[in-house]
Amino acid sequence: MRTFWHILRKRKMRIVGVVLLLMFVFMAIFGPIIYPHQPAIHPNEIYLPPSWHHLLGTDYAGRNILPQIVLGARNVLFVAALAALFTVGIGTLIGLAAGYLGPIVDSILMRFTDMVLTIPSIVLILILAITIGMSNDVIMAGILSFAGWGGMARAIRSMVLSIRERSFVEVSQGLGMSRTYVIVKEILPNLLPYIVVHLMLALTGAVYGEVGLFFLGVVPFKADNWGVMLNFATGGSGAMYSTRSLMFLISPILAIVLLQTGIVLCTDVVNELVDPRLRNTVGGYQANGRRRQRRTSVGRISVGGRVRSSSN
Amino acid sequence: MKLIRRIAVSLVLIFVVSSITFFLVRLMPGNPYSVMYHKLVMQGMTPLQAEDQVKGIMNAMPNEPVFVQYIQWLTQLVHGNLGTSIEETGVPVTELIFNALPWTLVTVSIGLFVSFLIGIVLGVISASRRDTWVSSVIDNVGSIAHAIPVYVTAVALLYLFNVVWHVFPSSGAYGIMETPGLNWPFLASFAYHIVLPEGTYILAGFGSWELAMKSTTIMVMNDDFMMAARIRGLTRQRIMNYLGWNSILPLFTLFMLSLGTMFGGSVFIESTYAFPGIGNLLATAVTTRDYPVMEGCFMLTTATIIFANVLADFLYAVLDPRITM
Repeated sequence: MRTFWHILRKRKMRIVGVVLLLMFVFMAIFGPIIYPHQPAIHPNEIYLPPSWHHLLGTDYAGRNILPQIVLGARNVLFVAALAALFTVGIGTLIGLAAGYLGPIVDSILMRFTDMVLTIPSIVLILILAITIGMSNDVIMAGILSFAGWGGMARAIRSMVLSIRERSFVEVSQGLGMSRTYVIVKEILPNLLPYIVVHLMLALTGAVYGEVGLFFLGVVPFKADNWGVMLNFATGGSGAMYSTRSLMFLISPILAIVLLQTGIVLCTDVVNELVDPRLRNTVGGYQANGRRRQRRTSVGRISVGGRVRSSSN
Repeated sequence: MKLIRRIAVSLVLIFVVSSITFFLVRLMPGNPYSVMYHKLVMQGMTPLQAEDQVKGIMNAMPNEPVFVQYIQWLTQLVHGNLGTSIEETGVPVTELIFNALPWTLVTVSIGLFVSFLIGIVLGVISASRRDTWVSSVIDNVGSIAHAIPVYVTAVALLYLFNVVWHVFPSSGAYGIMETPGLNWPFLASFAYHIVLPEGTYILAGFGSWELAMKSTTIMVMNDDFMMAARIRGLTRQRIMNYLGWNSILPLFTLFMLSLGTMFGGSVFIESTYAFPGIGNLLATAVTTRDYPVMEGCFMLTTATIIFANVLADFLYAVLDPRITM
């Protein structure tokens, strides 16, 4: 806890990020308790400006906007978190298998990963979404996770390839430890910082995909999703064409922007929290420089991998 | 020789992807084509007529086994026939796609190029002032701009510059008075219409370039040859030249990922600005469940991206002598 405070205090932006993310998590957990009912329709109160009674004004049917945003957070965050978990899970599994199980598995899995990487993910998600259908949240998260695991699998694979040559892995292999033991106890802990940081990045990607699907109107509308609000604001309700309805347009936009900003700023905190090597530096900036460099080395390995694959 | 092998692999890849789309749509519960066939029969068509009509749309007989349908569909595909649209009855899918593709290609490549330029400039600035507030501001702005979804940027820009301050048009790719072609009024009108879409592409795209450029620049700065250049007392301009070229090169491989993202973004951007490109075509096809158009768009964007990657690999080998193609 103390290290957490220490990390937070180093830069003000980090506090902003954590507060933003906590605010949305709070909304997602306690939203239905604060607002147990769907906001009522008041035909005489269409597009009211913000007031004490309606903190964010009202929408095209005279409904209060604030409860819609608060209730929307649960769905958005739940599906996004699930999708991010799936993404990272698949990416790690495939990366580990490709890196550790020998050249045949490696080349099969990597050809497959290359194929998935070249397909424009949003387009694939759109087609999957309407052929499979988005009946429940878990299926939706599964489809969304298709977007991001390719890059992750590649990076994990190249890291595993370099870690397995290090002496501590060779020692435990030489001691006759089982394959599972080596993977779980020796390799996985070294990948953990990257996995956790990538979880945050996958979260932003999943929010992008999920709200986007609702925004395009591809999946059946559910009440209280920011994407649905944005869809109505730009299309059906005509909120786009008048400055009076500004609040209905700007509320979902602000919600999405603040959530993504919060996640991005928290990535920095999480990164330092899980990677002890970054902590013992004097100033925040130096830590930042190192962080970038570490990420670079990952990028470089994958670049090298590509170079090798195109020259053999 | 390498190039030929790469192209062959790409062709196989495109074939696999299009086969996947075929089976994906046919094997799902509620196969849209058999649904369509039964609907036509219910509306009073004879089974033969209905079969004919469905065949015209999807290129295969609806009541045959899936594998036979696949063979029929493949034969038509090889002949360049992708079926006809369900929504715009009778219009071939290829015609719809080739009307839309140029718009998207032009806007996406301009967007890619400009965001790349902005990204590398900001990245170098951020790398050279690494320990100051400048770098921290640029990095934060870059990563947040990267994380904000394109449709949010698109809607916000549209609202700001079309509703609040009416300076840019809200839809279309050129004015109704212009005839498309190589004449000045048309080009001017086109440039005027793509300001907002391009702005969105750039805002959404420059962040990742900036972060990548910063990290490669820092990496190259610490390389031995940079030290050698400084020791030899080369001019600052000369050193910056070395630094720039060597750090831009690795970014070339990122093209693979960014092209897919750009095309994905075009779905949202073009449908928000009602721009007549392939993204908008796909978005409309998806909302109206126009399966042949959807499959066509998907195959074509994938093929475009795969070939752009082959081209990028080839260019990379030309630009970087350490790599042989």
